[in-house]
Amino acid sequence: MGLADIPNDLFSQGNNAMIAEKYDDALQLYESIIEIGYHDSNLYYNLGNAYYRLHYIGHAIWAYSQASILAPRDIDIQHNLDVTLARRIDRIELPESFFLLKMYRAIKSNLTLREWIVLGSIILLFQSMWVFGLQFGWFRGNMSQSILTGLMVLTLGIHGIAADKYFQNNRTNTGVVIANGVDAYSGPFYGENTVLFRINEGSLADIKQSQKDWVEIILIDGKKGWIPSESIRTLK
Amino acid sequence: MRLFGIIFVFTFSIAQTVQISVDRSRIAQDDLITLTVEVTGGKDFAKVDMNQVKKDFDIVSGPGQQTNIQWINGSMTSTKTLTWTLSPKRDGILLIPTLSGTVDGKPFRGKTIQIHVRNSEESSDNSVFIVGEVDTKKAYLGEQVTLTYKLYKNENISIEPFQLPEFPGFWVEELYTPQRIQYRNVTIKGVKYQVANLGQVALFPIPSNKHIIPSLKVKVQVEKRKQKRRRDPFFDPFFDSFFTETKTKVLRSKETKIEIQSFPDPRPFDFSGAVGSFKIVSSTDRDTAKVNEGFTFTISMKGTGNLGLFSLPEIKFPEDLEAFPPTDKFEKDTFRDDLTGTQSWEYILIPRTAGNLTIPRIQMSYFDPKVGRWQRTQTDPIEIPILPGDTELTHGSGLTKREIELIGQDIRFIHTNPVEFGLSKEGRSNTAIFLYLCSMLIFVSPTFISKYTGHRLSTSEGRKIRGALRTGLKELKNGTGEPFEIASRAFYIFLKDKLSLPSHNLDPSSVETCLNKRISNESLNNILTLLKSCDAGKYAPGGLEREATILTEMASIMKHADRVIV
Repeated sequence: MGLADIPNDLFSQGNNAMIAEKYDDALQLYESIIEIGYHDSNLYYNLGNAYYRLHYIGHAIWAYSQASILAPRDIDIQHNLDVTLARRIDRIELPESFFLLKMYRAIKSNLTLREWIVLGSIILLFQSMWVFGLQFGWFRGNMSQSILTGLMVLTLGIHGIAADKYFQNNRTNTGVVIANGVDAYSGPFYGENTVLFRINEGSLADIKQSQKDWVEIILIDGKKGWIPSESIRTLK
Repeated sequence: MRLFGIIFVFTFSIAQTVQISVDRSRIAQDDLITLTVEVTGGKDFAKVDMNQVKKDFDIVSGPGQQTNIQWINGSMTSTKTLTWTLSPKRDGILLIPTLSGTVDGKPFRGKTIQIHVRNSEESSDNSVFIVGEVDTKKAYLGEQVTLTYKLYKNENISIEPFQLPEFPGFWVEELYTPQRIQYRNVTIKGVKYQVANLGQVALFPIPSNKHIIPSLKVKVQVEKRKQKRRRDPFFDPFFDSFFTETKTKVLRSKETKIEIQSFPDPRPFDFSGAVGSFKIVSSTDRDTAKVNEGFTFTISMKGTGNLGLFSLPEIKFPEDLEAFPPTDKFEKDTFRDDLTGTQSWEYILIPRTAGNLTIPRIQMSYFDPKVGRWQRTQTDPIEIPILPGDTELTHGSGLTKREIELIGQDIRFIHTNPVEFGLSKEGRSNTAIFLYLCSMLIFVSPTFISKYTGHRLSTSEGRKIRGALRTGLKELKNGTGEPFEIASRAFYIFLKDKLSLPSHNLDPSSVETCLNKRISNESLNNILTLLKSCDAGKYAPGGLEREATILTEMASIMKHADRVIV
């Protein structure tokens, strides 16, 4: 058995445990694959199912979100994520954002960063061929000029989205709260009267900075506070 | 009473004298001294401020009042005496400080009196003593410290009623209070003693700057047999009991300092102060429930430790469930030294929507001082199917219709197809890199191709030059204005594109300079003549007859120029 077979071996063992409803075992097996450095959307998806069956809503949301990053157009992942999100305790209502912004975000999240880059490179190749054709006089007229302009706009746009996604992935560090009733403090220590708010499992939060055993989070509605780092799991 | 000690006499006038005295000045720590303030010739008892004395002594009893009246040789002397019984708080040289007070409204001041107090352990008298025993001297906040007060004796004593001291810095739970003092026999270092338990308490340190177990004070009457009264052996056994002498003593246990240990870091987030060993279990009173029909949900915590000193972490019930504040019940298990029991919370829950309801897992961290580690106990989540009620109320749970739909649904099954696992660090795409390189090559390739093959590239300028004639003819056809004007403008536009001039604002002389050397003089002359006649036609009425032909003439001359201009 080669080295590459190990994750698949563990994966099928985990799947068998899932079918036998031994969710604890399945969980261990799936987590061990992640531990040794492999990843795949199906792995995270199955892991989410194991967590969901054990009622670890926060962990399940983490796993489905992870799967969704890798495979944004998988309808099963999206469905399970939605079902799990509906079971959260905390609901942070956000004001309705501008529809163009919403559209942009929907488009952006529809492809992974790598898919955006590949798409951008294909369009760029096409553009280069078009320019080549123009220079050798194969295409003439205003129509071919407009097509060239269109291609340029498309290339810039797609690379812009890819850059946006890249910076979003690298600069912000998002995490999912995996424990219930976590008190957020105003500093990285247990103070007396400094509990700012309380969050429950499944809430998404941006991690701004971290100290020993503590992380500073920002909720999507703008609340800021420090929570123990063991109560949040980072999305990569 | 034998007046042993120091007597201070203060004379205010002939009539009044105040004496302050103690009965002895060398005592053991568990002995008592009597402080006497005697006023001779006064009308009333002395008023004395005893607050200073309380620093080093406990007032065991007093003040006792006594009045003596004497008639000597016809003159009356009255003596009014106040007595206090004092017990020293510590050993060493103690001072009864300067007593001040008033007699019949007149002030007086005494002097300090020195009392030498021996340590009771040094004293040979070890017949009666109290010990406060603790099971540990180092404790975490909230860890139980069991304190037992024991009385050891090998003489007959009688104990006066006593109270356990206050325990500042501790939360106290009484474990044992004797109804009747019972003695057991023990032998310590070859000496037989009888030992009695005077009370047992569980102490739980709470945050405070001082954790000291204070001493217990008990007043006892010690019976001392009179020595050497063997006059008549016949009577002795019987009369002995009548001839015993009692001595009052105050027994104190030693103060004990409890050292507080700090919890190891990191502290779990769901720690709410529980120290000991606990297990929590939750249950509901039924398996299914209907909408708007209440059921009870019970969490019970069984364990040993500081029960009652902490609460459960707050429970967040799902939003479609209405919860009422719980009732709290605590049952103490009395047959143990450690505080053990079951604490339970009972919630009434009313579901507001039908569907599968999950009461979340409840978890709590506690510190186990026996192993010195953090532990966590948690309940399993409880799933209850909620059947639709008889009348469905409009719910105000804040869920959208889509979310309610989703809550009713189950997740989809796992994906079991074998997958190609990627290493999670791998981020770049080789396809994209290959495509980028290809496009770069294609972008730069025309430059090289033209260099080596001499092919004329289609630049925008080249396209303009080639399209110059077409642009000019188009202007002739579609231009607006007078025919002469159109004709000359069309030629200038043609020339501008053909020669890549910056502007088409030209006149015949600038055309001459531009085209000079590029075409033959004959052609140039033809062009110039035509342009001049256009100008003439524009500004003078004379050229009217040429108006009809000027456009065709210009077209043919432009076609000719396009051919000849290199």
